[in-house]
Amino acid sequence: MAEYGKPGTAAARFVAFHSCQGGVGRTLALANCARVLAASGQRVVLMDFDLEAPGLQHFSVFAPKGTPKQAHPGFAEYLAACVGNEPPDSLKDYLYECKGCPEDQGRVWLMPAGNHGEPHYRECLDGCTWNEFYTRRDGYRILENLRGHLIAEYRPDYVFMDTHAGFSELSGIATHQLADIAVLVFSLGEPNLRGTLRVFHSLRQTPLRPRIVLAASPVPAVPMDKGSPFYEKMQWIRREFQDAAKPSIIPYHPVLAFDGRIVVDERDDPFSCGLAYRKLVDMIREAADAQGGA
Amino acid sequence: MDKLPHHCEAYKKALQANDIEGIHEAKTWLTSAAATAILKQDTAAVRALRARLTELAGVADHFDITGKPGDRWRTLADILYVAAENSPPAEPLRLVPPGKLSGSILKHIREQAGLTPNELAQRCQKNHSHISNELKKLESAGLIRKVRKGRNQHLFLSAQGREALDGRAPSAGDREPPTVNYPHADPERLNKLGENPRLPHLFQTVHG
Repeated sequence: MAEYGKPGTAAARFVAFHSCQGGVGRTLALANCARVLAASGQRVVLMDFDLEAPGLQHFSVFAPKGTPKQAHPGFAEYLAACVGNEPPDSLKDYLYECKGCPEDQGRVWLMPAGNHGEPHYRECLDGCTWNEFYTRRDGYRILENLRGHLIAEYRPDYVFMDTHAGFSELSGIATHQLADIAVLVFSLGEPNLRGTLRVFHSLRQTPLRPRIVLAASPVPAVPMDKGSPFYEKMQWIRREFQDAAKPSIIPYHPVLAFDGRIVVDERDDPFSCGLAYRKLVDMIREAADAQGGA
Repeated sequence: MDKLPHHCEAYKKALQANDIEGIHEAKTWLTSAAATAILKQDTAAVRALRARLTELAGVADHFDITGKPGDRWRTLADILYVAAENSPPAEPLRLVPPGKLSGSILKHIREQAGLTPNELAQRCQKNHSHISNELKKLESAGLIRKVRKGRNQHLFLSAQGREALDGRAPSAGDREPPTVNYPHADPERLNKLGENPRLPHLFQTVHG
């Protein structure tokens, strides 16, 4: 397994995973990449920014270490605590350490979306106007403080943010403000590609200019030789997404579509997808290195 | 001013009947009445005219083929406000605070002139009928203008709306939160984001 540097020593990299439409395997890609890094000794914090459809805590490796809890306060509760108040001194109430695998050399923590079994979580979502929070309630400072606090308290090598699919406000905040690297996950259908291109251009105009990594997912087994529809799509992507590296290709497998397994944790990579996720990790790491040198 | 309702009704009927002569006659009377009210500093007449002119602007948008639909009346209503009102009336001030939906709507329209009611509903995360009711209040208070282009309505602040927003004195429910320390926020990053950055919505910065 590849090594990914000494843990906790390099600058933390905030990586937002975003997709314009659901069902492309964004959360699965994030989970696999996080597992690759954790297994190889990195400290990884996961943040579930998908408040409408949180999913990360449902992976067994990301369940709380020790006594399992049904639900845990997270991002929504943290924001509610910060509005109009001094930010909490510690983040331990809002994150937990994940169970992981016995052979892990690194560690993973998760900040869940929130305690979505509680009625006040729904109230928080319904009563929240992101524009009001961001522009009049110090929202952008609260989020910058959370970013710095995570770095100070957990010394992560990577912070992975899973965003809600589409053009939501919180996805905009994660990708445009907090991210050092934005991983844009897309299927090869026309609407998905067009939407991703819009996000790509939008990210190019932000003041903090995150690096962009492209990931096509899930790509069915089709002819890929010159002149094939797949080849033509790739040519279009290279033409339109100027200056971006060639996209990572994550293959489609019906078993994974049916049951989101973390294949990088399986010894024999039965679906030949593990290698693809490892390549995606390499691309994220290269983007992190390039960003550090920029 | 006793004849004001009569001339307004005559104008509407003339518009509906496409009676060009009737339209001109009513326009002349109303414009002349507005000028007289301004010259005489007749506050009651100004207010009565403004209320009627705002209503007429909407009707004119639908029917008037003799000039720029509705613009005459909106402009006249703005002039009446600027020329004759010494202090902002109470109703606009009641609608302006940003803690209220109406105030939030005004702020959105100031940030992006020409928004449609649907876009506003999305930004405010409210349903369309709720937004529509608030827009009616704001329009009748003379704070916004609706301009129809094709099938869409586009929203703009009136001169009175801009003035009411700029001149709004903060009330207790509307004050900025007290200053809070953010010890972990990176000043360099905050500096890059700038003072009071806009919500980085993916649609707002997209090209093409």
